[in-house]
Amino acid sequence: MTTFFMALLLLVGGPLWAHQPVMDMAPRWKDGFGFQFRQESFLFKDVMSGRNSIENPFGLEKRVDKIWLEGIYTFRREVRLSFKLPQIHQSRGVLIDGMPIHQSAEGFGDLIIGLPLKRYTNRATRTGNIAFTPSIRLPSGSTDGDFPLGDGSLDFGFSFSKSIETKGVYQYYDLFYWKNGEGEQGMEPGDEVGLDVNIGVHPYHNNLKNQGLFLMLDLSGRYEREGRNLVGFTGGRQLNIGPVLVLYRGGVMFRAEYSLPVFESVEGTQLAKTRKFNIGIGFVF
Amino acid sequence: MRNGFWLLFLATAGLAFAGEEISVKPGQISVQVNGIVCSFCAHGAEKNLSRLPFVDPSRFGKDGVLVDINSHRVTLAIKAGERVDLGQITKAIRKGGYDPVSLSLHLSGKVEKQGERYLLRWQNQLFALAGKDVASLNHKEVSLQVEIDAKQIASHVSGNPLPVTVVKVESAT
Repeated sequence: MTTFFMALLLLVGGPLWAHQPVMDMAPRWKDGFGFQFRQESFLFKDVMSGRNSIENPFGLEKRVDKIWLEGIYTFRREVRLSFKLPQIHQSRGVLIDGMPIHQSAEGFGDLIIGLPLKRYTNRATRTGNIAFTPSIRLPSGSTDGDFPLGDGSLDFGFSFSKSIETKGVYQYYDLFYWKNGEGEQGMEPGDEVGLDVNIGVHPYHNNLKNQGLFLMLDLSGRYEREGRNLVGFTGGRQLNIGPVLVLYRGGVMFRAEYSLPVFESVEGTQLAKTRKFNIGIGFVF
Repeated sequence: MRNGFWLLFLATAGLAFAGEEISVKPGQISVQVNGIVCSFCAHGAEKNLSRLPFVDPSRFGKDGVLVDINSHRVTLAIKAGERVDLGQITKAIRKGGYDPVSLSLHLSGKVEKQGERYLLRWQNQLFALAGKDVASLNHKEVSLQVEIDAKQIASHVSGNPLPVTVVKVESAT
């Protein structure tokens, strides 16, 4: 029984927000390039079974902090190459033989490479693009230890996106799919499909100083099929919503996001319902 | 008296509903650009333009280029006495990811009729003038505000006159 309970409490929900475009707004110019640093933080404190929250008598929690290094190169506005590499620090409490044990791991995660292919439409008072982005996630994260940084699988994904922008309103829609391969030691997260929507306004802009502000609402939906990690099930459905603040000046952009779960359902029993905080700074040349 | 008032009212109303007149100062070139709605996104186009040898970086902040997302226009400050290459301007904007529509600038020189065309030579470039009352400018030293279709610049063959539309006659003597 204890072992079973221990196993249940080890079914931690994994962060399902691995997908994020690198700098959709820029660089759209030939031979442009950019890079950004982005900090993502997750804290899982609630135990869920299906759609229901259940007791967490040992106060177990899981924390994941990622610093993403992301880069992009624009061959021409229709063709870009991007990469994303996380540096991860993660920790969790697990129950082993009735005793709460702290586990942690630190290091680089899986490298993601994407090839955004865009078609732009420029009109008198608006611009927009549709894009198809095939991606590959390489197994660069360590699979060692009790709390591995990666599962050792080669994963493939693609997304379809559309953005529409006027001087006052910004809209971005991104539908994506990840085919998660079979990893090591029986780790096999389920395939993932999701939709990200950013809609917002551009209430402030200074032409002479080239600086401005975007305020947006981010809506993110995810479905990950039932899968397995080292200790049990993974997967579930999530809907998150939250504000996004973007400040820019010249070729520098600062972005901060806060996301709350408004709906969640997990496979099996997992630590779930994390709020997400995301902050980053990017530079384009 | 009443008829005169209504005529004045209608004339004013007509002007109010007329197309917006773009005013360009001498020493500047203004480009209408499709899609310019965010200056962060236009950073590359601005950078390309600021590197053109005839752009004066001491004006408009620190690079000689003003991106106006309200009017969707990019204005360049031109160095006095420097030869302007209009093709480089449109190319810099296209490389920046945007589509130039038309350029507005000042031309000055003497208008000469050649066949059916009225030509003006400015900075050793030949322009073919079009527009209302162009014929009245023949043999005159003029200062004009003109508009050029960006597609004409892209397809222009060196040595041929570049077609321009006269928007405003600043002076004609």
